[in-house]
Amino acid sequence: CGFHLRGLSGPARPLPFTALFVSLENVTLGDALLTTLRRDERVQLWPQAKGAEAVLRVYGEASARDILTINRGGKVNEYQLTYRVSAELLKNGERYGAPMTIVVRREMGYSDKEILGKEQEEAMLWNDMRRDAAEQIVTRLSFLTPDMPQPVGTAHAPSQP
Amino acid sequence: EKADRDKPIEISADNGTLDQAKGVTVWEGNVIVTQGTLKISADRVVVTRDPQGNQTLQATGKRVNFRQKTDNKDEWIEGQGSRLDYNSVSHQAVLTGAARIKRGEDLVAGEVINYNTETEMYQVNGGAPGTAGKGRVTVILQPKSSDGQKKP
Amino acid sequence: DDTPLPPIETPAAAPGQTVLSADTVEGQTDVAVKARGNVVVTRDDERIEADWLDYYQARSQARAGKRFVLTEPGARVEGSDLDYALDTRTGNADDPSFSANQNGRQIRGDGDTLDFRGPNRYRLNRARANTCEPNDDSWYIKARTIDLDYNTNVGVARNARLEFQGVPILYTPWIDFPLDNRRKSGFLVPTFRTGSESEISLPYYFNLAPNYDLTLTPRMNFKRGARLGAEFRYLRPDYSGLISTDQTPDDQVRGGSRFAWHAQHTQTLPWNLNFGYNLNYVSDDDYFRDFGDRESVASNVNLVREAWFNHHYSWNGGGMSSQLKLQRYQTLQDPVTPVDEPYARLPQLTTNAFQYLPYNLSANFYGELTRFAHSSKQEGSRLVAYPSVTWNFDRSWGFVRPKFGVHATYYDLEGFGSQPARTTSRTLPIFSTDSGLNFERDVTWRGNSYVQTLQPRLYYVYIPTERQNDLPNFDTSENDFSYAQLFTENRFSGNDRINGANQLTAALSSRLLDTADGREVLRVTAGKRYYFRKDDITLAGTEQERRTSGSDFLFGASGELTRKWSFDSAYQYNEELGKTERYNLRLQYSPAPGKTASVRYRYDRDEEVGGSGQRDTLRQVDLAFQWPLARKWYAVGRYNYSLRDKKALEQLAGFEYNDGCWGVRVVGQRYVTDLTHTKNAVFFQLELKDLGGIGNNPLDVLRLSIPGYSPINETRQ
Repeated sequence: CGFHLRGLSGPARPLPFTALFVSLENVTLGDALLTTLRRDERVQLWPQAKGAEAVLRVYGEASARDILTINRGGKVNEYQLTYRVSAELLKNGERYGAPMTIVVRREMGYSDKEILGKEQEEAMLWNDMRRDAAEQIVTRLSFLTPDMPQPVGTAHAPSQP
Repeated sequence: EKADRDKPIEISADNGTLDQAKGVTVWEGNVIVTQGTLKISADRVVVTRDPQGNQTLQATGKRVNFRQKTDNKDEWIEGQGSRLDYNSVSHQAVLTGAARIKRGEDLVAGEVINYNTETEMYQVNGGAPGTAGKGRVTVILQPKSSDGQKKP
Repeated sequence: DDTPLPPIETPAAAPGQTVLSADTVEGQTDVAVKARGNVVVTRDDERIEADWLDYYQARSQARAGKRFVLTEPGARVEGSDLDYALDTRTGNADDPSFSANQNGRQIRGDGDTLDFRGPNRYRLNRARANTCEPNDDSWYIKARTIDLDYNTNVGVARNARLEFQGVPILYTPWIDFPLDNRRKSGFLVPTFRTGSESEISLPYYFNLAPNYDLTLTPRMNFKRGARLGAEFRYLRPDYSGLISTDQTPDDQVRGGSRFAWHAQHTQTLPWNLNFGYNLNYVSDDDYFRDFGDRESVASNVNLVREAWFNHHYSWNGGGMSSQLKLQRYQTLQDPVTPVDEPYARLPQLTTNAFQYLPYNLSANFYGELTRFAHSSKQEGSRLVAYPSVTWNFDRSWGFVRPKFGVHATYYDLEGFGSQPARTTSRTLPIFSTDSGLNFERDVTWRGNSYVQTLQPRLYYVYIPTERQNDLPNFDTSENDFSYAQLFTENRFSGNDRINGANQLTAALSSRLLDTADGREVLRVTAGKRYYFRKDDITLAGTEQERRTSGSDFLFGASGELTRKWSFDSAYQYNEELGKTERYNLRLQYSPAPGKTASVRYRYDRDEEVGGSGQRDTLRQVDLAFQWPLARKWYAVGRYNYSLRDKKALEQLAGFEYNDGCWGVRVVGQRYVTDLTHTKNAVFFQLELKDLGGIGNNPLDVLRLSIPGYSPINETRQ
C-alpha cells in the first residue's frame, strides 16, 4: 500500500538547518521543543543566536480554559483546553518560509469534588498539548521552503498532483 | 545705503550716447553702473535727468541685476529681472519679468516687484498687471536662530 | 570691477524654512509679509492654506482669514480666523472643523473655537466629536471642552453628553477615552443588566498614572440595593497585578453585608525566581448565584487562595524547576448538591529535574513535600520522591524508550478521632517502555499532494499491585480515560494511589500532512490497552479484580476537510459492558470571519449530572452560529439542549448591527444555574468605534458560547 519506513528508502525529509538556536519569547514550549529537536541527530542545538545557522523564533503563546459542557445542575461537566503558539524560522535575519501558527485542543472532564486531582490531570494534559505542538512545529519545519518572492501578477501555481 | 546717494555714478559699457538737450544718456552692451555700494549690470541702460537734477534709470536686458548694501545690518540686497526702473527721488525700484529680490537668505519672487530701497517695503504681484495668467508670488524666509537673529 | 552680477539662486530647502506663495504679497523685510489670494504657507510638516494671511517673522506668527485649512501630521483643521505660531504650534481658530487620523484611528469634530496647545495637543471648545466617516452624524460626544493629546494618546471631554441619532442618552461631567488601542477605555459609561438581577452601574475610571489606574463602580441593584465595586490595577516592568472588590453593605433580600474580594499579582525576582498570588474570597455560599453571570456560577464552586514562588534553572543538557506553594480553597456549598471540601496544602514544595546523560540516557526526578490540612479530615505530611532513568533510542523510522523508576512515598499522619498519629510509606518500582514506528507515503487527494503518516505505537507499563487503603486520600482522583491517558503510567492523578499495572497499550495514529506547508489536515487515532494481569486497586486503595482483559477502545478523528469545514470526533467503546461508553462529534463551518456555524453532539453513558452522587446518561446537542443576515446585520445564536432531560441548558439569541462607526448588540441568554433554577440575562450594548461600549458587554459570553465567533467590528465588510 505504498507505506515505507521513514528514512529507510532514502533520507527522511531534512530540516532546513543543521545548527539552530531556539529563541523563546516568554513561551513555556522550551523543554518540549528541545526534546523533540534533540531526537534528530542531524541537528545541533546552538546556545545563542550568534553563530547559529538558523534561529527559530517561538512567540505568541496563548492558553485558554473554557467551559465546553455544563450539566443539568448548571455545573461544569467538561472544560476545553486550547493551546496556541506561533513560530518563525529566520536565516541570517531573513524570514525563511512562512510563519506558522499551531492550535491544539483537548477536552477534560471536570468535577468540583476532585479539584486537587483534576489540577494535576490538567497539568498532564497541558504537557501533552505542548508535546503535540512541539512535534507539529518540527514536522512543519521540514516542509518549509524559502518564500520565492512571487513575481507580481502570476497566480499561485496550483501544486501538481 | 543712504550714503550711496552722494557718491559719484560710474557707468561702463560697450558704447554710450548723450542727448544733452533732453538730458538723456543711453548705454548699451555689458553695462555696469556703480554708485557707492550700488551696482547694476544690464544689457541696456537709459539714464534721464530732469531740470531739477532728479535722475531716473531704466535698465533692460536678458537678465538685469542690481546689488546694494543695507544700512543697519551688514547684509546685501540683490535684485534681478528682465527690466529695472529706478527713481532716485522716490527711492522706488520696480523690477518686472520673473523678478527676484534676495535679502540675506530670504527671497521674494514674482512677476512685478515694487521695492523701496529706503523703507525696505515691497509689493509683489504674481501676474503682470492686466494679464489673464495668474502668476504666483513666492516668499522664502529662512528660520531665525532661537534668539531672533538671522542665521549667517 | 565691471563683471556682471551672478543670477540669484533659490535658497536650498532647510528645516524650519518657511515658504509662502500667493497671488499678491506686500511686506517689509524682516518684519512682516501680507499675502493675498489663495495663500499657501508650508514649514517643515505644517501647511496652512487661506484666502489671506499675514506672517510676522519675529514671532513666526501667522494670522489667516476668512477660510483657512491647517494640516500637520495626523491632524487637519479647517475654520475661519486663524491665529497660529508656527514654531511653538500654539494659537487658536474660530468655528473649526477638526479631523485627526493617528494610530490607525480617526476622530472628527467641530466647535465654536479650537486652541492649539503645543505639538499634537488640541482643545475644541463647545464642540462635538465622533469617530465616523465625514458627514456621518449618527452619534456625537458634545462637550464644553474636548481635549485631544496625541502625545499621551488620551482624550478628555468635560461636561460631556452623548447624543445618539440626535437623542441625548448620557451625561457625565468628565470622561476620558483612548486615542490608541493600548489604554483601557476610560469611556466607562452606565451599564445596565436586566434579567433576574436587574442592575445599573456607573463606573468612574481614574487614570492615576501611566502604570496604575483605579475604577470605582457604584451600582444600583433593583432587588438588593446599593453596591460599590472597586478595581485597582498596576503594571510595572517586573511586577503587575490587580486588587478588586464588590461590596454590598446591606442586601435587601438576604440582609447583612455581602462582598467579594479578588487579588492577583505576578512578579519576577532576581536569580530566576518569580512570585505570585491569586486570592479570592466571598462572603457567603450563594454569592455567585445572586450576583454572578453564567460563567462564574458554573465554575466558582471552589475559590482558590494561593501564593507561590517558582524557580527555574537550566544548564547545558538539563534543567530544574521548583515551586513553593501555599494553597487553600473556599468551598461554596450548594444545599442541593453538597460538595466536600478539598485539602489545603500549607505548604507544598515540588521539584522537577531532568538531565541528559551519555549513551542516550536521561535521568528525571520528581520530588514533593506537602503538609495537608483540613477542617474535618485527617491531616498529615507527605514526602514523594520519584527518580527515573530513560534510555532514548530515536531514529527517523521509529523509537524505543525504556524507562525505569522508583516511586517512594512517606506519610507522617497526625491523630484523627480514634486513630493515633502514625507514619507509613509505600515504595513501588515502575517500569515502562514506549516504542513506535514511523511509516509514510505520498498521497494525492482532490488534486492536492499530501504525505500520509502511519505510526503504530506500543507502550508497556509494569507496576506491582499493592494495597493502599491504609493510605489517606489527600489529592488523588481517577483521571478521565482519554487518548493522552493511554500513555501514562498511573490512571490516578495526585500521589496517594498508584495503580497496579502489567499492561500494554497498542495505538495507531495516522495524519495527512499538506506538502505545501506541512499543515495537519486530518488526524485519526485509535488505541486500546491490554491487561496481562487482572489485579488492580480502586480509588479507595482496596484490591479489585479487573473484569476484562482490555481497557475501553478509543477512537478519535479530527481535521479540516477544506479551509472552511472542520470537524473533530471521539468515540469510546466500553469493553466491560459491551456498549458505547461515550462519543462526541463536532462539525464547524466557518467560511469567513463573522460567518460561522457549528453543531456538536455528545453522548455519555454514565456521567455526574446534578451534583456529586447523581449520575445519569448525558445526551446533549449544541448548536451555535454567527451569520450575516443582510449587509451590516448579523444574527447570533446558541441552543444547548439536553435530550436526556428534555430541557435546554443554555439558550442564547441576539443580533448585531454594525454601521461602520457604531454598532449595537442585543443578546438574550437563558441558562441553568442548578437542578431547578434557571436565570436569564439580557445584554444591550451600544459600541462606539474605537471608544468603547455602553451597556452590558456580551462579547465574553458570545466568544464562550459560539465557537469561531469574531466580533464584527473587526470584520470589515
